[in-house]
Amino acid sequence: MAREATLEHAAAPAHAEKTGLWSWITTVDHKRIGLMYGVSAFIFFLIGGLEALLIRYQLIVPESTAIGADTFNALFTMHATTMVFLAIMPMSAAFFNYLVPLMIGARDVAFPRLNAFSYWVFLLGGLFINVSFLVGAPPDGGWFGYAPLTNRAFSPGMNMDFWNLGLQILGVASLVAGFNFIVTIFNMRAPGMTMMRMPVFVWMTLVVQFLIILSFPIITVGLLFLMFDRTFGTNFYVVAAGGDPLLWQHLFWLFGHPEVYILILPAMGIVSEVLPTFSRKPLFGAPFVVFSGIAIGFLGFGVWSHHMFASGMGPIADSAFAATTMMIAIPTGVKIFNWLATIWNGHLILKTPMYFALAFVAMFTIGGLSGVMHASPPIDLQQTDSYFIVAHIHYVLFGGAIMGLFSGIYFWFPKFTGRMLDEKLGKLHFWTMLIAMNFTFFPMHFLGIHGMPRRIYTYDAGLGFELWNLVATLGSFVLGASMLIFVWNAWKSWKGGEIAGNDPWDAATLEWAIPSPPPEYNFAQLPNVTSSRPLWDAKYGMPTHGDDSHLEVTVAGRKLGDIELVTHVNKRSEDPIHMPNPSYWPLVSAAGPVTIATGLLLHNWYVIIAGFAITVYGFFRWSFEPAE
Amino acid sequence: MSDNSIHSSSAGHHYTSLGLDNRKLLWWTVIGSECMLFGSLIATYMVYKGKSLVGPFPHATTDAAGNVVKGILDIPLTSASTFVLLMSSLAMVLALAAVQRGDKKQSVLWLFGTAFLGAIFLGFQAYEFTHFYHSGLTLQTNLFGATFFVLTGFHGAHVTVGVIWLTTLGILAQRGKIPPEKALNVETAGLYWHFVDVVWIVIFTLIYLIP
Amino acid sequence: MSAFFSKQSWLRLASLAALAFLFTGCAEESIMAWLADGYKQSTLVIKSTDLGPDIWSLYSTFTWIAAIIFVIVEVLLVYAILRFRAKGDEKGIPEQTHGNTRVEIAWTIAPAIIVLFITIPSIKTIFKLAEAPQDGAEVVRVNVLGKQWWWEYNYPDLGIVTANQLHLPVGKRAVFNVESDDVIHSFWFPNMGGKRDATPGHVNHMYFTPRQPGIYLGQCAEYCGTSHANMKMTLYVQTESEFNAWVAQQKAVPAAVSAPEFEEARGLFMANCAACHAVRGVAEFGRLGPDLTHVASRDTFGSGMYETNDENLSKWLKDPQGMKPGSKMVLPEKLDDATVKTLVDFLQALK
Repeated sequence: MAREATLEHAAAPAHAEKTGLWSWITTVDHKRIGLMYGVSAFIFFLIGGLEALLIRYQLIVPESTAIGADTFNALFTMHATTMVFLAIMPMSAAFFNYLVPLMIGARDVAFPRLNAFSYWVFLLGGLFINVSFLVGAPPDGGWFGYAPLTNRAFSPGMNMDFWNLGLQILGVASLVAGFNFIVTIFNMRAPGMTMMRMPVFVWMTLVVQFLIILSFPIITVGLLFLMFDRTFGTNFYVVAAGGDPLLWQHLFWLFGHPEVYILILPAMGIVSEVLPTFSRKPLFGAPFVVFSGIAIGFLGFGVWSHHMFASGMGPIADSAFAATTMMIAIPTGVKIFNWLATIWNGHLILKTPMYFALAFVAMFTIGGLSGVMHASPPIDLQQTDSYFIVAHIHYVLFGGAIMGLFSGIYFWFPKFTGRMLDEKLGKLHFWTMLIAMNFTFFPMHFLGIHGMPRRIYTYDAGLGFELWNLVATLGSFVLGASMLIFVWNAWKSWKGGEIAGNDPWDAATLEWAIPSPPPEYNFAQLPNVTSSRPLWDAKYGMPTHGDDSHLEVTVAGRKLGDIELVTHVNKRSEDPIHMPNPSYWPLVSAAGPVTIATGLLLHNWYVIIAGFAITVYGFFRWSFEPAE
Repeated sequence: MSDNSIHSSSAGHHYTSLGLDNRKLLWWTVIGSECMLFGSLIATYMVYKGKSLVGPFPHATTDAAGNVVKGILDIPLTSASTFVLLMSSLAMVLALAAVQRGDKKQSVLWLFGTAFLGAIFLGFQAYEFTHFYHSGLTLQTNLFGATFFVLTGFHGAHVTVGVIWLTTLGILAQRGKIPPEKALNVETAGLYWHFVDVVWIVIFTLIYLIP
Repeated sequence: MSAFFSKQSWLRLASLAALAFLFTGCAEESIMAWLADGYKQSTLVIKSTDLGPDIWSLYSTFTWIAAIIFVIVEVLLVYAILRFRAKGDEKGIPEQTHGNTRVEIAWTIAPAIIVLFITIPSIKTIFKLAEAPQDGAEVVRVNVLGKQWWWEYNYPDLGIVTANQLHLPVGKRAVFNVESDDVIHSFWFPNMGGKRDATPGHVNHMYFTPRQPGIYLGQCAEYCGTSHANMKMTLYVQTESEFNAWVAQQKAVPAAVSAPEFEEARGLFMANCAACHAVRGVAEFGRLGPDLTHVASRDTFGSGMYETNDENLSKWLKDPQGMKPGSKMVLPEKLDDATVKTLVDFLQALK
């Protein structure tokens, strides 16, 4: 029988647990930063959700005057911007931060202070965009910001400046985090944690970071051109001066399509951890799941123009991009079949995280299949910019990404807080959310089929739009309510949920080998990893398959499970544990970019120069500060 | 931005999975990302090449009346500045070598030398920009002005960062704070500096040499 | 709990059945009739053009394949959940299968074959849709110009400029050059199959031959600012003779242009409207707003927003932005009731 694996604590370092606001502001601990990412992202998620409810409220009946045209346009722009950049991406970042070091057996990320810097830049950037509401100039040019609509001539206010500058700030945060995690994953793995022994979630994180560092520079350039057009009167997108609006579209979608995978791959990684754990068997064909993730990321850079089939690129380009786009169906299909094979012949423990993970497979399949439909240009020309696409992206991003992220929240909440989320409330949340999302988003297929374009604040009666809009709106209200169940559950469980212990799910990966929540230093002694399921193999003994010739785990040199472990204690693990010092310089440096953006917004050179000065000064102080 | 700005955490001090220092790996990933940034800027320049509706144009053209209009680019001058930047890469190599063998005097000389050559390059660029401005080419004039100034300006900003970085390293070396075991601080700066140089070679070829 | 799951999947199955029903060949004709009646903007009623059947066959092939894969995946999923869920014993350990290379290769190849199977007809249809009519073929040429927030139609061969309401003869190939004056719009009559972006600085082409007389609705599909939702349009597919009559009417100059009783109205028009609007025979330099030469011949105005009648026109002249958010129409001064009345009478006479 299995024994609970615990880590030796004798070697706990002198660092005492620190509390108080200041300790959070100066923290460089990847776990605290992860939690801050998660909480901030969830608050932004609620704001974005509220925007969605207002959108649906306006559309509940034809020719409604509940919300004016301009406000509606701002709401859908901010809904998408918020959900993509301020909710799903940072929610994924929360998991990267908290889990990647634990899963690879590290004490922190490679550059802890840089990590804090990423978080603060993200938070300030998110606040910067949302301040636009307070000054009455919310962005209203669409999250895709097509020029020339977003040029000064057609968007004269500060609205799109907030959006443009805000996205540039957020780009800095994502890029810096991307560099950090690539180095962390390549370089900070515990001894024996080879690339192919890494959990699939870590692999998907790695692919996402590559997508980020390669795609964000492209949108940065696009945004920079737009900023120059708007602020300094250049002509990058000005037709009268020979500029071409399609340049923006190419730059935007060269970023925008990889961005879709930046949003969905983390959820795929989460599901690839949850399904095996609750099926009590390994992920079926893990290498295939990993390589199909890499293939999706790679192909993601070759399909951007399928967002532009209506722009008139000509039949040759259309055909080429149709073919590459359809190829993405292959690795995606492989993933889905592997997930099915993972639960096949399993011993399914139907706990809330598993519910969400299974629903991810069910819902994401719908989004994936409708995606294949508009890979074909003749069909896409009927579907693009209609509600069919709205249905598609919500099955991918809500049924996919959000469903997967919730699976992750239910799965790792015990690790984050030391307490279990309530199962009853969890299942109530699950069923409400699943049913409501289908009532919200499935009718949008019908609306698209009936010819309802996206992003319209009003529609005529008599076109067959009434019923499905009504259903979608009512569904969205229930969907909103389901989030309250979750908030209540999280609050209640955080305060007084069942104590989780190290390994409540009888899982396989390293993070479950240590206390919940883990101590600041994570591992008193770094583990020596010999298999892709170190904890499972420690608990249940050597597997019978021929994956690895010797499979055992050394956790603090102790015998775990029924097997004698190699007491491989390397020189390093005898060293005292050094943890990085807290620092407020990351926050100071992070104030720089947002100050520069404010200067550009107000056309004030003094503020811009002050912003640069803050950044440079912050970096210098941080450079010459002792790291530990 | 500076030498030990990005300090790796305790666990990775001496041991890393790839055997490559964290900071070095970091700068390689940054360079990968920068390739996309400059790639997009350069691609835009190429897409808009010859699309300007009004002059000044980069290279010699014939106007409607059949007269040859001189291009605004001064190739001999920029060749000189390119040569200076290339020489700075050489100085960078010498600086790293000096640091690695613990030769403080040479380290200081070549670090400041590299920064100085970078600054000369920036001087050339400042002169070129001013000259273009007085010849009627601004950011707003035409697509050439917009793409040219943004691309080369971005490159200039990278050179500026490098000059500040190298100057800081020079001062540290002068104070004896870069012993051979800290040579990596100079190596990462070198990595960045060589990358910035290589980008300039591409820009110089595509903008100046190919009409 | 698994019972709930199956209930949910029944719901999905039911919605799927509804979709499948839409695509069933045997019921197609009656469904089409039903759709055509209630759903004037439906993307499925595309048999009213020559290329409709091509798009349709692709559309239904894809939908069928998607539906079949959907059913397979969901059935396997639900079956696995029911079949393999732990009953009681939470610690049971199933066989630890790590994978099976042969199976993996099989389900890599299977989607690859399906993809190949659907890519080829897609590409064929792409080229068919892009095929320009041969030189000398009898066509109706229309230059479509998207503007914030209305459509201008210019028939270069016929010398007609009109707005928002497009007329085409049945059975003759229509050739569209789609462009924009300001931001990007998208020209879309769902019944005619497919859309084309109207992008400033680019002329995009689109071709189709309407096969069935009738009234079809369309609207701008690319978000283009405040009144994007109000950029609607109507297509009248007419018989040859109806179309010719319409052409003759549009080419003629309305009597009101020279009738003495509209002397004052024409003065008011010159003072208040002519900077942006053209009325042939009165003033033709205003090109910013719709051509009003035959404004009363159009059923609706404001880009499909309002029925053309005295009341709506009066309201519009008093407060265009109140009638259409963001409308670019600027009046030199607020018009009094008498002026509005005079102008509306004049506009209503422009047939």
